[in-house]
Amino acid sequence: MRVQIKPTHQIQRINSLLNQLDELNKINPEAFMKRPHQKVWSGAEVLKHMIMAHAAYAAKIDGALGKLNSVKDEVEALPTRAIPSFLIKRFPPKEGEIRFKMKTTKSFKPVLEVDKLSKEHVQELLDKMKETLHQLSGWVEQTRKKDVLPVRFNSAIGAIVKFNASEACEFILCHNERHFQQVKNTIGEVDH
Amino acid sequence: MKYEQLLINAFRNIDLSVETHPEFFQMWEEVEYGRSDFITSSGKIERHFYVVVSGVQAIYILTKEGDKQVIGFSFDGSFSGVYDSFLMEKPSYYFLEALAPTKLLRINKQNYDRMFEIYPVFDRWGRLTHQDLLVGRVQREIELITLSAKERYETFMDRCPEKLRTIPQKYLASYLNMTPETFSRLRKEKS
Repeated sequence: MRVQIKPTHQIQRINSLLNQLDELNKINPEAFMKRPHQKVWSGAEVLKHMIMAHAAYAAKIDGALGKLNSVKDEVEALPTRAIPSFLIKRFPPKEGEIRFKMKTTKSFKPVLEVDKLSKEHVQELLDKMKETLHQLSGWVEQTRKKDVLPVRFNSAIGAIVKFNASEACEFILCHNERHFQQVKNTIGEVDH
Repeated sequence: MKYEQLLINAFRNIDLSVETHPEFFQMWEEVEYGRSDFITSSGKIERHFYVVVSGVQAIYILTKEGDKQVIGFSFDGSFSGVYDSFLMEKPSYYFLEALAPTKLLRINKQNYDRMFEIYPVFDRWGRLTHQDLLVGRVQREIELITLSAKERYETFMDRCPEKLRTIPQKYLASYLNMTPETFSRLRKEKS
């Protein structure tokens, strides 16, 4: 079954991530600097990866939203097309478990020198993450009141997958939900 | 303050006047929302308590599938807000949405607490208002459990304020725990 995008639900999920981010802000920044294993990202690297993925879509979503017409009634639910739906469905964690292990592309690998990270650097990443979530929330608010279907753009994977603004927001949100779980898991591991 | 009479009417179970309670009337500020705007969204802390100047608002939660389940409405002259989040200063479970262009008066938590401190008469308002809220919630639960869809529709329409008849049917149907199709069929049967 294809994913139905419900903007009100998206807002609730973004608020949940903002509340989780508030909790992450209370943790000692040093916990974000350590990798649990050599081949596993640290919390700071995961944050950086989410920020990079968000940035890859920012101009595209802003551009699309600028071209869309407003609708009279709020958009309550929007069906996704087959390929975006397939991608979106695989991302969110289920009952705290990250499913479908994926390899990230080179362009989204967070280039951070973990041993040179400072507390200030971690705080900058947490602050930037908050900024991106607020921006995502603002985009979703706009998609609630616009006809998003006419404008599509290439996803970060390339022209093989095209998104409309709502699909892109859902993709970023699911991606964030997945990686917030990863941050929590990582910090749990390095704390012990 | 432009809306003294509106506040006096909203707090009608106590005696208020600008002369006797001057600070109370200065605690409120006016805010406006467009149709479909969120006044409060789930996960955020509600920072205000409201009196409705104009418009209709729905308070709802989302089901696991992300569908709206309406809990109640507010409209001209009534109180509005996400009261538990406001009182406890905890993230809201609910959304509060303007179903029509909305004008509200709002008071923040600091002033709300202060109005009880400086004017003891608000203890009476609090007791009577919470009593009404509790009785109203129990009545609604009883109706949802014991009445058929048709009976729920009839009971609601008997006491439904005119203002609520103008909002999209899907919100009324959700409030009555029935599908929009059932609501529409019952409405046709009655007309």
